[in-house]
Amino acid sequence: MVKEIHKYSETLSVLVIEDNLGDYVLIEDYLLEKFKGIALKHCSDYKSAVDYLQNSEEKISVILLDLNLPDIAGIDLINGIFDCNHDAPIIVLTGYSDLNMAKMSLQIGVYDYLVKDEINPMILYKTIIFALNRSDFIHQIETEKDNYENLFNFNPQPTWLLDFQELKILNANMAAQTKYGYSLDEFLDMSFTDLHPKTEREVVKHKLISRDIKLNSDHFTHQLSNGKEIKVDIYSRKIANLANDTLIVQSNDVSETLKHIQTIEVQNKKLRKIAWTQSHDVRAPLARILGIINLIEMDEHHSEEFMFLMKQLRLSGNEMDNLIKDIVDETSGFEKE
Amino acid sequence: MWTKPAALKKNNLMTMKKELFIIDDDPVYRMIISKMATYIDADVTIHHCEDGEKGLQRLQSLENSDHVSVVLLDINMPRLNGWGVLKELENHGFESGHHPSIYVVSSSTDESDMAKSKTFKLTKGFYIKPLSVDDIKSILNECDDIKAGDH
Repeated sequence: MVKEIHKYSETLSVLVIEDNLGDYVLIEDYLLEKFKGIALKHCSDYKSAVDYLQNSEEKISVILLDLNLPDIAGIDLINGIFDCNHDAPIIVLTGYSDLNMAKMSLQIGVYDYLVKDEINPMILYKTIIFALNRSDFIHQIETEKDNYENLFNFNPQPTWLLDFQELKILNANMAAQTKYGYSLDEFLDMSFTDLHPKTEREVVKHKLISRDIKLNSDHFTHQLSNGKEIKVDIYSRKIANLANDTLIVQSNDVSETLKHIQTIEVQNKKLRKIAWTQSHDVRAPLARILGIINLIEMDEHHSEEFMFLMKQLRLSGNEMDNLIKDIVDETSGFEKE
Repeated sequence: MWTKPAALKKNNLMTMKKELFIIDDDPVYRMIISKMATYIDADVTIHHCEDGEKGLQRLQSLENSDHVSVVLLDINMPRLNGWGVLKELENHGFESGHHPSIYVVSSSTDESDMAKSKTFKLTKGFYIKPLSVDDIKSILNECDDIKAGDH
């Protein structure tokens, strides 16, 4: 979110590096006219300016820099000031004769330039305010960039940034380094497909580049630096850049999960076998016993006591039959799940 | 004491010989069924087939016979199981025209077996072991009804 434009009416502190006293006084007048409570610091050569920047406790908001100083000039001067100043935006002051140099300085990070003969209070004011706002904005973007880098680096899931053409590893986060046992430098010499066994490489490359949506229908194998193999699911997303398209890839170790599933499947198989045994093998002799009881009971000439015992036998058989039936019902319900 | 099957119908079918095929690998089970069947109807001819393959051969040799035949077919048997027998019979066009009444019998209470038995057009019914005298009686009577209806 872009912040509201600053007024800088109170706290602005400006360093003016200018060897011509007449020019300095003019600029001082203009600044005092437009900004209330401004703090001004004047250095008349490169050496004292560097000295001030390196040793002063005071925070500088903006630097006005004359391109021609007695001890140094031009690009060398600008680079020298950059070396000891990382935050404050630099605005170059120049004459018509150095206009090309001033324009070039914009390419190496100077915020703006002012032609001395054209300066008036309004132009100076606007240039400073605009430079400060742009500087704030850039800092904000850099902070967000840091945040995103942290999101990448401290993500607990191993994550890589790849170039989209060859799948060369461009970056690998800390989780990837810890999990796979490669340092960042080792990763940077590798292609993502190197993590896979030879038989998988073509498939992985094709799937990552064609962005096959069925990528996660199969599990892939990753080889760690210690030679151990793990089973992984791979997630990827293409990132469109101005320069080169990149791919962000995450791996999820599913070895343990697969092992658990496998164990469960083996157990399921055993349970199914038990259910089958219950419903067929155990019940077959029971059915035979009950059939024999049916046969015996057809004959009415048995004694009362014999028929009583036969009835008890049938009741016990039925009881056992119900138990078997319950087990079968339960296991067939379990099959459906 | 069990009453004998309806005498009325029996008169109509006097000329027809009734045959019962017990296709099952369990000799005790076959013995129980044949005793019950003889008890109900002393005239019924009983054939024992101790596995699916033998049962299939006997049934195929029956084709075009006008005997009234009833089949009790077990599911779990060595060599050829009950489903295999049914499949073979269907593949050979047994379902059209003259065919025996086939009842699938299983010692399993698994409902999927009953559902599966219904997918075969040849099957007349499904029984879970043990079969009672009443079961055998209604199987033999039912086939009388069907035959009577055909004529």
